[in-house]
Amino acid sequence: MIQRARFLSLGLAALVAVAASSSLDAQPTDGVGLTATKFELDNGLEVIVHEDHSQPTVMVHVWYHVGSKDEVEGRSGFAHLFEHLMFKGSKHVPDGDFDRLLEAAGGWNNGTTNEDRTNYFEQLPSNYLGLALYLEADRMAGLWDAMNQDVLDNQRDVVKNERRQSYENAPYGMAELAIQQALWPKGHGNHGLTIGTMEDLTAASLADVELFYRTYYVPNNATLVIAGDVDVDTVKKAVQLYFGWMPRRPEPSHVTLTAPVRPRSEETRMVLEDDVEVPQVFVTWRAPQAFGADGAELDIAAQVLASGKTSRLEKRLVFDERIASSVGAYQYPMMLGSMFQVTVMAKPGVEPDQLFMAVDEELARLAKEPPTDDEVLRARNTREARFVMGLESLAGRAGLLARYNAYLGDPNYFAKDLARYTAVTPKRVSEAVARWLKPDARVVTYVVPAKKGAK
Amino acid sequence: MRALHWITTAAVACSLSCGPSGTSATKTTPPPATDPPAPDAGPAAPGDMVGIDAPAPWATSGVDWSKPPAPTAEPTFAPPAAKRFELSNGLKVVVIENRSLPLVSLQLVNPYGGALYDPRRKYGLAAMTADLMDESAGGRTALELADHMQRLGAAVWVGAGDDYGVANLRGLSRTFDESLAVFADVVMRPAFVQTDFDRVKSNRVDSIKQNRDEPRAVASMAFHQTLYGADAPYGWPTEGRASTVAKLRRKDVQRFHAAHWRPNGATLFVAGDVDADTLAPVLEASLGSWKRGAPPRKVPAIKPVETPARLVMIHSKDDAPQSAVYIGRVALARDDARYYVAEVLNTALGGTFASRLNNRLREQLGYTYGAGSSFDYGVQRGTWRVRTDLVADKTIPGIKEALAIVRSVVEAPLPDDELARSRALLVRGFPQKFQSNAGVAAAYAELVVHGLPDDWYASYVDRIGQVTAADAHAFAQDMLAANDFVVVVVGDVKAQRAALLDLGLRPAIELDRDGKVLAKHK
Repeated sequence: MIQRARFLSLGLAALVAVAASSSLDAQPTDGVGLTATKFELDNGLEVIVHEDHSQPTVMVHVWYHVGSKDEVEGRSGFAHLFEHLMFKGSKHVPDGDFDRLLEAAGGWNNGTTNEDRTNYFEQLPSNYLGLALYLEADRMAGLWDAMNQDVLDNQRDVVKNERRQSYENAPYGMAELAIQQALWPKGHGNHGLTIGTMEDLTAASLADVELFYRTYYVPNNATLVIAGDVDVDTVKKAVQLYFGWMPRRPEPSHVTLTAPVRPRSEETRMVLEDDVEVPQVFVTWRAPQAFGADGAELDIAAQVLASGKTSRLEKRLVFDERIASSVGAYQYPMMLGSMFQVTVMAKPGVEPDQLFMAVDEELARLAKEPPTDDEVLRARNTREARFVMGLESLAGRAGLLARYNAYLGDPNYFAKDLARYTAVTPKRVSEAVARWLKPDARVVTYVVPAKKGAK
Repeated sequence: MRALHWITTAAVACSLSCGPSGTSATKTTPPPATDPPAPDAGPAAPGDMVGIDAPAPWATSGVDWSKPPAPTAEPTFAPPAAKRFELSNGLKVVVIENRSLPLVSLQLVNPYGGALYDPRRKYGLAAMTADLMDESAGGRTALELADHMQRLGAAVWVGAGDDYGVANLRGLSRTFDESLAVFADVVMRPAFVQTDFDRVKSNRVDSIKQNRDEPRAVASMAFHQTLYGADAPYGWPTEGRASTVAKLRRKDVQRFHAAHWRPNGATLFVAGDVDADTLAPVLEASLGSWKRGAPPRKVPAIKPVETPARLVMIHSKDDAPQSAVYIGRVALARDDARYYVAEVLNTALGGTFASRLNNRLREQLGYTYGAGSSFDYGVQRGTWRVRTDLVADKTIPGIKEALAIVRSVVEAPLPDDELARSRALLVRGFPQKFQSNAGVAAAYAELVVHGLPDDWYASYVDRIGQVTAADAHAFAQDMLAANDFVVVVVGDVKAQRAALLDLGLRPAIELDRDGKVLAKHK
């Protein structure tokens, strides 16, 4: 939902991997971890290398530290539109060759943009590492040489189609936009969606592209993550060759968190109509910034609320009362403040008010009485198992390393991330819910079937 | 903060492109705190900062940028080896050991558990049975089972496709013995409790109705229904129709499970942190008592419709911003010898980002966020289709363009570069199929489901390498030339009906979002 992929088939599920606890006690699983070597070139390019020789493949990530939070007024959607432009050729790579060369090498590639960063990645046989670095370096230093109005116009159309497919033509799709506009004030980096508005996309100009490129797409604003069948020394030499010659540029300014995230101070209610069969209820709050205090507790709270048949909302609404066909709860972490959302899909004939009242009651109960030890244990064990599963793929590992580095400055955060969840207690869950998921801080949205003939 | 930021960077970049750009011209304010080096200081070392618009010193790099670097030596890769044995009740077991992470994945593939075996007018039964198997089982209620699996850090779930049903287990190797016990309960001893049945059935009917909201789901349903017939195998949706699922009874599910979920005919794939030798008695102990059954007497035959409708129109909503489009026809079964040439041809035509379909419809014309084609290989037959969501006012030109692109591979053989790229992608991308435990299990399951030899993967790379442009061209002429494609359009048909009919595709029919025929056009 938040990560805008260049091509819809791929998106990184950035699950945080965990040195898993065992089933019925809380001992970490031996030997499971995630570590990497980090170094920096003279020009400020960060490089992270993780060796894994189980398969002859390598994954290369380039994370540019700019996201939709850094966009200016009137240019929503720009960071993501720019991401699209990065695939259209560069100084020594004609338009179309980026993909053709990688495909000929047996690789796949994509990119994603969200509020916090723009991420480019490819996976290919390890003997083609040079190709990946060549392509990434050429577009880092030479994108503008290949840029022109036609490229911008074409990708603008593609992005508008993406918006249509993902939001305008998708059931309940426009609710996300309304919610992200209500949750954060205008001018706040998280206000609105990364995909942007049609008006702002139309307004994006070639001059904007050049400025954005020269400001943000510089080696000292980027991190390279290379994971797979490589060795650190070879990577060091290769990266120095392809990137070391680029000069350091002025540090771009970034929109950062300058004051603690605070819950909203008022409740907002919205009713939206859409071409849908049944209503869906969304209740959304602000949450602490990614990896901030209370973050792990709220993740566990989300599981207690809606993960699995015996979760509070699923058991009550889907299983017992049978007024919902599905429920969800999750926290979406961002640098400037995260989003916590509960969703309930109505069964036909059920009024959204009834579902909302149940959500309100369950949240109030969780804020007042801590969950049981068993609820927290189950949530922790499930999460920790997912952590281990997240390590299975190179894509998962590379993404994790990049994410830890981007948010915390330390790619080797794995064990500490696990520790955040090991430290969660029922009482702390309750307190986090009481602090953040308050009735007077939420955005309540009903999406209801449009009245017939009203279209 | 954002406005200030804009002013700062705009000022710095004013030297680049002040002028009619649509952006607000702002007053200059001081550039960022750090200044570039003085002009006569000599060439800057990379660590020294240069100005935002200083040119990049490519010549100092020591790289020959004129062409991409050549790869180093091609690595060798062999798919992981599998060990095979059979339990006393005939259940075949395939084990792929992988000790790198403490995880285990199980997939039990049941060739009699798919929608192919739905009885007449009880479409959705196979899927419903699968849905209910992982509810109450083996003496635990659905809620108890769910809790228990969460404590173990594991998950069990059962699903059904057209050709087979599959029971899955995924979890930590540390708790494997316990989660295996639950898996055995789910497969062998599902309780099919009435309250579970009522709840799951009701939710399934709701979710089928909600497919109406999703244009691509509607298009897929209509595509298969048109090719195979609404009351024929492969023609009804795997999950069934609201009307057919509503009629299912608990005893239907009980009977289906008893008759179709039996060890003989099924294969269990285990991948992960296990040892095949110690695993065998463990599996025998938990699954060995699963009683053999009689396989269904007849495998339902797939008989595609002889002359399907050529144009299928479904109105999704007024002013729909996009049209979900399928273009395709019946095609190959998985064990067809032409599989290799089909894959090579399709990769170039619509299988990748740089393929003809996506490159033209998205990158050149901007009609879509993505266009592609694929062969879907079933056990007896398969389909081939183009899929894309076209911006509404480009629906007609987009369809015409797609048809022209397909014609292009019929009219002329693939040029060398496209052929080479297509083969290279399939060959060099091959190892990635075996990255995760579930991926490895699925890769081996594919062979078993389709009756392919155990060592099929050993020759894959060579067989792909042997496909020539002439082979691919002959195949295209055979498979894609007859001009008999079915075109499905889900969008604002009310506004576009006349233009769609003008495409000249006949017979042309109009359906509602549930697949009911509303009109036929001569």
